Formats: sequence, C-alpha cells, structure tokens
Amino acid sequence: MEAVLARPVYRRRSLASRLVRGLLTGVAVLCAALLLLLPLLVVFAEGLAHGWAVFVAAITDPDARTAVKLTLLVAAIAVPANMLFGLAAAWLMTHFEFRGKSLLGALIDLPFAVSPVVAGLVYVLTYGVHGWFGGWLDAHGLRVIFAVPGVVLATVFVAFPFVARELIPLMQSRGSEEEVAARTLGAGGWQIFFRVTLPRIRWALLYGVLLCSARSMGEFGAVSVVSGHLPGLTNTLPLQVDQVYNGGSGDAVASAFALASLLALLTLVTLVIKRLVEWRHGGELARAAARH
Amino acid sequence: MGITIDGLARRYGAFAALERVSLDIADGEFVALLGPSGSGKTTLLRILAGLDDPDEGRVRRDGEDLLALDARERHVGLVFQHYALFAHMTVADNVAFGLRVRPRSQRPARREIAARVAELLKRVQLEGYERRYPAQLSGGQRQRVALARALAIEPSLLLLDEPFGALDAQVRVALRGWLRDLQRSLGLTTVLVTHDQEEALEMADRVVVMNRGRIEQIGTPAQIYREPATPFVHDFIGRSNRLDGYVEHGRLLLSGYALQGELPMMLDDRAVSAWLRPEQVTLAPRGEAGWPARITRLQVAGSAVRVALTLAGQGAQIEAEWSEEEVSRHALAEGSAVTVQLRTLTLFAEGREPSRHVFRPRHDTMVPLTQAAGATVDIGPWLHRKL
Repeated sequence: MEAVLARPVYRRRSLASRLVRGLLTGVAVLCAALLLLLPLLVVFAEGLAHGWAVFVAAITDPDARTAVKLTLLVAAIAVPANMLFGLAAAWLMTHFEFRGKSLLGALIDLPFAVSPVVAGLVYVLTYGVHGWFGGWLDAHGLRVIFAVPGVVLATVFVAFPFVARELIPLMQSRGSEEEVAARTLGAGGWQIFFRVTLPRIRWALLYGVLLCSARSMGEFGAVSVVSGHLPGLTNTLPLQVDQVYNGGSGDAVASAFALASLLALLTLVTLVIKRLVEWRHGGELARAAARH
Repeated sequence: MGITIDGLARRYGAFAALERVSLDIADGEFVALLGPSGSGKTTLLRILAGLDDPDEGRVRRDGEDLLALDARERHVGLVFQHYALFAHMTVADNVAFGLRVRPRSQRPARREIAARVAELLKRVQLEGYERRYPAQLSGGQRQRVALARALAIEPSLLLLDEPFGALDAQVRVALRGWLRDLQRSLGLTTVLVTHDQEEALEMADRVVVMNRGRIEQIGTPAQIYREPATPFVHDFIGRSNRLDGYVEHGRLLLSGYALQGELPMMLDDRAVSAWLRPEQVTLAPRGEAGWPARITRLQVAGSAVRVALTLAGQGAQIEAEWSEEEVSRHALAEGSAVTVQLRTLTLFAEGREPSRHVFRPRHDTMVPLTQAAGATVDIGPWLHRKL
C-alpha cells in the first residue's frame, strides 16, 4: 500500500529533486574533502616527508614521549572524573526537582560557551601565584598552575559537558518508572543503579565518554594557558606539536607533523570506536540525539 | 484485618490532592478507586505503594503501621499503566528480579528462583516466553509479565494503576475477566485505580468513587449504579439526565409541570436537582397519563436505541433508552409525538447539607403550570412567581 502511494510522488519530483540532491551531495563531499580529509592526509604526508628516520626520531624524542605520557595521564584522570560528574549531573537533572535546576543546566553547558583560553585564564587567576588561593597553595608547597594539576583541571573543565549532555535527553525520554518498579520489588539504591539504570544508558554513556576523551586529548587553548609550556614537564601532545613547529630546527616542520599524526591517530581510534558504537546501537543513540 | 486507611491528606502547594480520606479494605477484597483525573485516586495508590508520603493520616496493615516502611520493604506489588518492564532483561529475568535483589540470607537458591519463575509464567499463561525480551511481546503479554513480576515477591497487597489503559479495547475486556479470576483464586487484597467505570463496576467487589480528593461514595457496583449517593456519582457513573426543579406545597415543579408524589417535608421550598437514567424514561402504556414529548433524534446503539426527547412545558431535553423492538412497534421516528413517564427521579437538594430522596411521580395527577390564578409560573430554572 505504501509503495503504491509513494511511487507517483517520486516520479513527479524525480528530475528536479535528483538534480538538487546530486548538487548538494557534491558540495558536501567537496567541502568534507577540502576541509577535513585533505588536511588529515597532509598531516601524515608531511610527517613522513623527510623520511622514516626523522619521523621515528621525532616521536621517540624524550620530550615527545613525556608529552604522550602526560596526555594519556591527563585523559586517564579527566575522563573518569567527567564520567562520574556527568552521570551524577544527569541523574540529578532528570530525577529531581529543585531550586536552581536551570542554573545547573546552564553551568553544564558553560564549557561549550566559554572560550577555552578564558577558561584557562580563570584557573590562572584563581589558583595562580597571584590568584585568590595562590598564597595559601604556595604556603603549603602545592603547585597547580604551570604544573600537572592545572593541566588536569583545565582538561576536566573543557570536556565536562559531553557525558551529561549525552545522558540527559536519554534519561528524560525514558522517565523513572522502571526505577520505581525496581524499588517496589525490593531493590536498594545501588542495585537499582547497576541493574536497571546503567544497562539502559550504557551505550549513550560510552558514546559520551568517547567524545569526552577525544576532547581531553586534543585540548589546546585552556591547557596552553595553565601549563606554562615546560617541555618534558607540562607539555601535552598538542602543546608539544606547537612548540616543535615553532622551534626553528631543520626538521621542525616534519617533526611537528610526525607528532601531529600521532595525535590524529589517537583521535581517529576514538572516532572508529564511536562509529562502531553508533552502528551497533544506533537506535538508542538516535533517540537521544533527536532531543538535542 | 486487611488495610485500614484513616484520615489521609496530601497537599501539593495550594492543591489538595487528598482530603481526609478513610477507607477499610478487607482481606482478599478487590477494591476499585474510580474517579476523573485529579480526583486523588493515583495519589492514594502512590501513598499505599510508598512512593509518596501523606501530610496527615495513617495506614495500617493487620495492625502494623504501613507508612513507617520504605517502599522496598512494603511487599506491595505494583503494576503500571505502561508496564515499566526492564527492557534490557528477558521475561524470565524480569520476573526473577524481585527475588534476585533480596539480601543473600533471604534469597532463594538459583534453582528455586527458576522454578518460581516457571510457575508464575504458567500462571499468567506465558510458558515458553522466558527468553523473549519485552519489545518482542504484545501489550497484553507485557502486562501479564508485569503482573507475574509483581506477584513474584509474594505481595500482601496488589496495586494496579490503570493496568489496561494502554491496551486495545478487545484485549482489555479479555484481560479484565482473566485478572478477576486470578485475583479470586489467589485471594490477594487488590486495589485497582481506574477512570473507566465499566472496568471498575465489572471487576471490583467494592467501588470507591472519588472526586476532588474526597470519597463521594463507597459501595458495591450495584449500589453505586442504582443508588448514587451524590449528584457527582449519578453524573459520573452511567448515563444520566439532569433536570432542575423546585419543591412547593408537596409538589415538584419541573420544567413547566407540577408533579405529585411522596415528598418529605424537609424538601419543601427548596431547589432540587432531579436525576434519572435513560432507562427510567418509559413510554406511557396506552390510556395512561404521561408527559407529552417530541422525539428529536433516534440513534441505534447495538440492541438499544438512544432517543433524544424534548419535554412539553419548558422544552427540557432528556435522553431515553428503549429497545429496538419497542421503537419499531410504535413506529417511532424523529419528530414523533410521544407520551412518556419518568419512573424514578433521584432528588438532591441544593444547599449546605445535600440530601437525597427517591421520588416516584404520579403521572395521572400531573398538571401543566398554566397561567391560571394560584398557579406559579417559571421565570427561570429555579425562580417561580405566583400570579
């Protein structure tokens, strides 16, 4: 029945609609190729331009290895922290009515709206030597700014909204009836969370975590302000790329691109996992995405 | 023993969801809470389930204070309108949930749980569906899984929150009778919340009609239908006609006629609303007096015919329900003039103390209110003036 009804509509619109569709697809593909694919290829090509030896030397350089380690360390702290924050915030936003709920919603979105550089500066002004808590921290021998804790703080800030924003629409659309049912059946709080709530949101959670980790590893602006660019100490991979590129040595450009390709590779891996999750559990995620 | 509800009140800000509601539910009884939305029936159910706390009042189950227990300790089975099944679990896992989350010391052995699940699924006629997921079941099947899941914890009280609300009409009717039989065979105290009067009247031992946070009437389905205690119940249950009248000198003045019959003194000189069901409007037997009327509409509804009538006098509109056979025997059509009798009128006096009186008018002495001396003339629904 549906097919019978649909066919004449297609036929009538076929010529104009096919032309428009083809044109739009062409423009989209061209844009994607010029703006996304080509630069990505350039990264790898430039990295290998001066030969394999330069590439290997660039990524085995002690400072570069420290940068990779620091990037992974920061992600290893920031991502689980943001996962917990995101879960708690989403739970709070969807299961309770309280004063200042809309304020909390706005706060969750703040890192999306604020420029990362401003975010970095805020941390410097708060925890820096001349900042509000600077004196106290200094007296206790704690360094936040121009040290690893500052880098972690800035990364947590910029990657904060991803998990919560992924979970809130899904949890909102599902309501809390299943949790209520579990409670009347005698389940306790943790049992409800692990047996009912978590299984329902696990794929959206994974998706949010992947986005969050991609952002954590790639962040430049906020981290750049708080880290102080100390090679081998507080340089993350993006900062190291920047520094090597501006370093001026003979193989500077090739080395920078070699490091950049490493960073791109890390991000590509998360993207591939993300695609796989989307492909396997598209339905659950689409329902969440439709609310965005 | 059963459940004793005493003076429950619940307010949400300025809105009173429940006002001093008291109700006794006997052991093994099936009680339906019936009312429109906002009547407080769901609030009462949520309080019984432990999902909401009352501002005042007590609930006792066999003498024990039910309100002191948390929802998870109440052993109350709750069935939701939209099933609330765990979508990521199989049917068997859903049913076993309540047993598996028990503390280790009270948890039955794995094999015991499996046996109980099998037994429950047999009870709800879903054998062989153990490994399916809720999404693979029809609405009626899902609701039966939800029921089995609620029964698994061996509740001492079963609460059904509009359990058939999301189902097709046909499935709904089939499930009703089935659930009624199951409840009887288990002897389980059950409270059903519904806005569907047919459902309440068909299934429950007793029906509690609620309106605006109060109980309007408690009674058996037959009492609720035949002897409505308040105008609200008469209007809400079944089909009703309402006419406004006035009692004067032992006569009921109704729509331009004066009707004689038994009227208590206390109704004298009071405005009343007169209620009657469509089946209480009958055609006057040949040769008997009655109320002249004109048919404005005939509508066949199954075996019965709904007849809209305009009464002579002030032209009040009422509805009657006659059999198809009767309509064709008298060759009735739209526009036909007929003589009808109003068998039984239930009078509710307006005022602070609503009083109820059943009135059987004598049609042979009914007279139109003409403008003769001494008669009264209606100048509005309740206003009459002596000429």
